[in-house]
Amino acid sequence: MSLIFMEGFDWYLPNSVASSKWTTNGGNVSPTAARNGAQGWLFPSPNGSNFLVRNIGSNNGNTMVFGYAMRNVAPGFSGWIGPAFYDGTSVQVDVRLTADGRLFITRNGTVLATSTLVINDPTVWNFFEFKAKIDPTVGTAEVRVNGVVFCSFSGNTSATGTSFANVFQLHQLNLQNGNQYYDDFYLLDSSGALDNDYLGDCAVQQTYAIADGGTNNWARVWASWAASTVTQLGTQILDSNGNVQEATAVTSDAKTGTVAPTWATTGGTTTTDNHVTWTVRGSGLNPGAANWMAVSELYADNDSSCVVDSTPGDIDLYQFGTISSPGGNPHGVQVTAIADKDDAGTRSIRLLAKSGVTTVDNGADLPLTQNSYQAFQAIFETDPNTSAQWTAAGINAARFGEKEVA
Amino acid sequence: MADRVTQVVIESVTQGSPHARTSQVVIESATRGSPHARTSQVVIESVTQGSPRARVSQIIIEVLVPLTQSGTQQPIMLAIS
Repeated sequence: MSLIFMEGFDWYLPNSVASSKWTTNGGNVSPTAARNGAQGWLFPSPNGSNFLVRNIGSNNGNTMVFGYAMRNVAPGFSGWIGPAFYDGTSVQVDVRLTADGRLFITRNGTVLATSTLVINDPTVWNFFEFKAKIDPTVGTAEVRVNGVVFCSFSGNTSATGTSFANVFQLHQLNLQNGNQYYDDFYLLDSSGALDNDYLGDCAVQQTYAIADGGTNNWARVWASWAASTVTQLGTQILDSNGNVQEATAVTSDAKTGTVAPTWATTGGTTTTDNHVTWTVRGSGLNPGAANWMAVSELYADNDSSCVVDSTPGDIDLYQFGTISSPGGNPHGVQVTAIADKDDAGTRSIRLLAKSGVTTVDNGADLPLTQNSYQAFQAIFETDPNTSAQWTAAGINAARFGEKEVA
Repeated sequence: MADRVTQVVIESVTQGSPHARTSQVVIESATRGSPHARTSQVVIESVTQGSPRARVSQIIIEVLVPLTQSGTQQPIMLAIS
């Protein structure tokens, strides 16, 4: 396993701070920041103290590579930090920007290498990759932009004296040069046989469940329509006809009406309910309700629509929407489940990938928290059916889901 | 001449006979009460084993795909030093 995470920001509520996976200070998810998919990450001008932080595992001593797409990184104030690897709260190495637009690598402020290149047009998307091995004597650090090496260093890359990083932080690289947009993150280390070095320009494609996946042991739970209720985008209810309605647009105060509307009954058609527009899930006349619908709302709606289970061994699998990968085989699949438990006591899940007749899980129980939904993530770098790198066709034919384990 | 005695004082010590005087008599006694037991509230607390259900509200997959090296890649120019 080399891939540690990927991030496309598409599944978060617009303008949210992506708090289920990141600790943030300033900035937000934004449709205007998208390079691929529906959304990206926005660091607004002019606040230069904005950042994203994420734990990357227990004291990772491997060589790590962080890749990301960014635009509008014009020269300006010198020295602002971009991506950085941390030992706890202390910077080990980072990348910064000079006043004339060159990139340089520092060991917590001590300059290690400076590029002689500048980015030709920072206002369009460029793909950055920062590679580093943290070590007081045999460390390495390098920055590439669009596959071109900008600067490199070998030697002491450890500001704290340790040989690891356990926190990744992405700072706003500059300030007072307009909004900055980020998308398509990956972070990997050199620990595995695949995806253990530069990947080059990549995109993160996201897709939702579109059908049940052959095994669906879990039950489904739905909220009912409620009058005069503020409704979040993506909220799903079971209407009086037994169909699932999803809030796909809201205006004004986002409240439902005082009396229930006359519901549309054909999949994909809409019902106006005061300031909420509902869309029937599924296809055809009266498509009813299914497990895949409960877990495929646009933005997680917590208890309003979910699948539930308390029997260890029970599995729920889903078929997902098609992805394409014209640039080569995909580097991996990341499954993310928004999950919790509804009472005291132990309850854990594992995330699954099934390809052909082979099902694998993430290898460790994921303990749930009572009445507090959290994002649980697993990465599958190889096709379980072939034990080789995924193909797009393999992913499209595979099923993904969750298993109740304890 | 006869002796004259102008004053004779005879003092003697006598046993008094005082009346004992009692202005108040208080009689106290300890008796066994017969109280009513009074219970205003009864609270029963017990520790029970919960039976939680796992709930999954949303599940998505993300796929990291390589992009082709197309004309969208921007050229790099040397910095003027």
